[in-house]
Parts: sequence; C-alpha cells; structure tokens
Amino acid sequence: MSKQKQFEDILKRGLISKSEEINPSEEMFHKIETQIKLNKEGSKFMFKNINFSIKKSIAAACLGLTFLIGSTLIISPSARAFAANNLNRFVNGYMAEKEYDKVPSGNELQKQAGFKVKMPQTLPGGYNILNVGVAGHVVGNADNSKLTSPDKKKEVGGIYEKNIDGNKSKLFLNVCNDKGTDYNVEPKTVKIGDKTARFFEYNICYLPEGEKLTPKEEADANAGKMSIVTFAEKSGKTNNKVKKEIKITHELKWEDNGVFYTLQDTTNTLTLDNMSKIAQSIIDIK
Amino acid sequence: MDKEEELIQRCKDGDTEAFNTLYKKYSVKALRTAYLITGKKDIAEDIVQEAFIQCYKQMKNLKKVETFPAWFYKLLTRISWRYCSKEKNEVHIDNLSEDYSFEIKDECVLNDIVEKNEIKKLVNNALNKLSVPLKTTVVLYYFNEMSVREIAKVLGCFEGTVKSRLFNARKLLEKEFMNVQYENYFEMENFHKKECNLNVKAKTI
Repeated sequence: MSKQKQFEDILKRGLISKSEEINPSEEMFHKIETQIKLNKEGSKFMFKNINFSIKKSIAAACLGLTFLIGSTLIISPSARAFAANNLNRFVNGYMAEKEYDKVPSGNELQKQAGFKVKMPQTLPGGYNILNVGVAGHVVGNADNSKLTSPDKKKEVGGIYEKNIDGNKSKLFLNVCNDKGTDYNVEPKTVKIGDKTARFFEYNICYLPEGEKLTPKEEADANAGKMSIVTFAEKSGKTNNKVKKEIKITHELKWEDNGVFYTLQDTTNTLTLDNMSKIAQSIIDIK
Repeated sequence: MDKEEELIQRCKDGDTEAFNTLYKKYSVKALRTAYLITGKKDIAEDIVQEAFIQCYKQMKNLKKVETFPAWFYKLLTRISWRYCSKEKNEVHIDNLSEDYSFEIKDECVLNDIVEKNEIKKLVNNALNKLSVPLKTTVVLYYFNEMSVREIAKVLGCFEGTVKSRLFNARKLLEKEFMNVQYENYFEMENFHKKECNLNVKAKTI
C-alpha cells in the first residue's frame, strides 16, 4: 500500500471511528416536529401569563405547559382571537429562546437567564429532568405582528417526570426574575426553612380548539380564579377530539435572593408536605 | 424519478410522513458530520435540529430535487460554521485522552499493529489543528465521500478552492501524523512486513 493510500485509509478510519460516538437522541425529532408546528401556527411563543387587558388580570398559567416539548399542547391562535374579541388586543408573555434536554451547568444557565438559577437534575420522590427552557419577556399585538422585549425579564422552566407503574407524572419548576401576577385565590402561607412560601390551589381548564366555556367558567377565568389553556391537536384531525377538562392545580411559590420560584403540580397527587420537601431541596442548593 | 427524489418531492408538497422518512435517512450522517466539524456533541445536536427545521421551511424553494443532498449539506455546513464562530473556534474533541503510548505488536499490517483507538486519537489530534474551512473540506471528502464538485456546491466556492484546501489539509495532517510519536507506525510496518516475508520463505523451504 502506498504511503498516500495508507494516510487516506488512516484518516477515513479515524473519522468514522470518531463519528460513531454520537447518534441522534430519541427526543430530537420530537423537538424538530414541535418547533415546526409552532412556527406553522405563526408563533414561537410559550405564554406564561396572558394579560388580556389593563383592567382585568386573567392569569392564564400556562406555566409548566409552556415548556412541554413533543406534546400536543400548543397555544392556539384562537386563544388570542378569543381574548382579543373580548378585551384589548394586547399580549404579554414569554417567548422561548433556548432549550436543553438536561439541566445545563450553573454558569451556562446564569449566562442565558441573567441571574443565578437553582435547578437540579432530579427532585426528591424520583423526579428526573425532562426538559429545560429559557424564555424572554415579550409584549405586542395579539395577532403576532410585532413583538418587542421591553425589559430583562426572563424565566427558566424545568419539566420533571417520574414513572409510577407505567404512568408518567410531571412536575414543573419555574424560575423568574419577576414576581409575575398572582391568582385571585387566597394562598396558604407555609414556612420552608428560613423562607416563607405561598401555596395556591386553583383550576386549569384545558380547552381544545373549537370548544367553549360555560358562563360560570368564563366568569371564573375573568375573575382570575381559573386559568385557561387552549390547544390544537397534533395531527390537525378532528377524529381524535380531546375533551375539555378542568384540573386542580397546586403551586408553591417562594423567593430566594431576589429570584422567584414556582413549583407546580397539575396531577393533584402531591400533598403540601411533599411539595414543601421538594422546595426545601431546591432552596438548599448552594 | 428515483425513490429519494420522490420522497423529496413529497416533502416539498408538505407530506410530514415523507419528512419523517427523510429525517431518518439523513439524521445520523448529518449529526456525525456536524460533530466532526465542531467537535462537540451538544452543539452538533443543536445544529442538526436547526438544519432540519430550516430544511422543512425552505424545501419549497428547492428547484431541483436531485440537488437535495448538496443543498441540505450546504445548510448544515453554514449552520455549523455559525456555531463554530460563536464558540470562537474553541472546538475540542470530548474526553480525549492525552495518553498516546502504544505497544507495537508482532503483526504484519498496520491494522493489526495500531489499535482503532489510537487511530482515532491520531486523527482527532491532527484534525484539531486545522481551521474550520479545511476541516470541513476534509470531513466532506473523506467522511461524507463527496466529490470535489459536490463539495464546491456545498461550500459555495470554486472546485479549484476545494482542491487547494484538500491539498493544504493533507499536508498539515501528514505533518501531524509523521511527528516523532507516530513516525514509527510507518517504519515499523515496513520492517514487520519484511520480517513476515522472510519467515514465510523460511517455512516454505
């Protein structure tokens, strides 16, 4: 074998050998698919709070759902149309900027968010991180024509998951440098270490596109007692129609060094004590 | 129209299942190409995700379906270079051991003398010394097995430029391969080949 051939052979083998260290992850196509769908809907948005008007404060807590990747839940344009029909055409939310499939290093997260974030890879009770997203605050028209970033408000959302006998249960952790809007429900105050946390219980109404709220549901939503999340089906077909559902949601909120933490459970399976222990484990991170 | 061209045409028409199939066909090679160019696994994943999203959005602008591979790799390379310049060319190969020592065994051919791992380290070390354009040209030629003409289309340059880059890259890589730790590979190979031949002769007598 000539030296030239030998050299090329070594080079090819080295490249192939090195390249074999990496393979596409299972979630990669889901992320691509989700991003394509979001782009198709005309939005890369993931709204945290949709403030529909200056007068009223409907805190549509898409909190944990804002970072669900690979799920069928995306914010439908009709939600904005619904809001816009009733109230001012103003949108105030958070737009996703970066996503990770595990918690990045503390320095990286601080660099992206602009503040120190306490977000572990796992939470007590067997929860493992599924996805982390960083989003920036945007305001603009409901028809998505112009959006601006008026301030340095950012939020970091983590979705945790655990498998219980084949059923997956999710827990959401949101970290923000802004306190945000509280729900119009009376919280319970609870002490966690040296921190004072607030425990909220409220309803989330999952409203598929095309379905409507009852007058009572609309009144509760307008009064800030219920959050609404509307969504469109992944396939775009109507034969797998998902029904409207109202779920009890629990949130534990606390402040740590000027940063606001929210732990959200939409499964209604965790007690206040469970959530407090999880919160304590986050607070204890140095 | 062959099967791949049919698939691409269906993607252009908005067929999401066809896009899924296209993804399965191209994702592994695309990811490995991005990894070889950047040297970082997490960045390579980001690059490939962005490339497929852009591919889906811009597919309708693809005039000739038969040019898809070059068109796609052009997209991939452009995104890779953007990430590389963001990272300020701080490309490094993950978990590369600094131990280059090896034991030359009593075999005849290079394959038997040099462990696969050693070849990988050798090539990694040498590749890291190249600039991003040279490294990309090497990867597209030797790993993706593209022709000079195809590489020129991907990189948006003349064929002469590709040839010149290949020539320069080979020179630099050869120089790295032939540094004092590795020159024995080639010398010992010739030595052992001679010995083997002599042994064979002795046995037949």
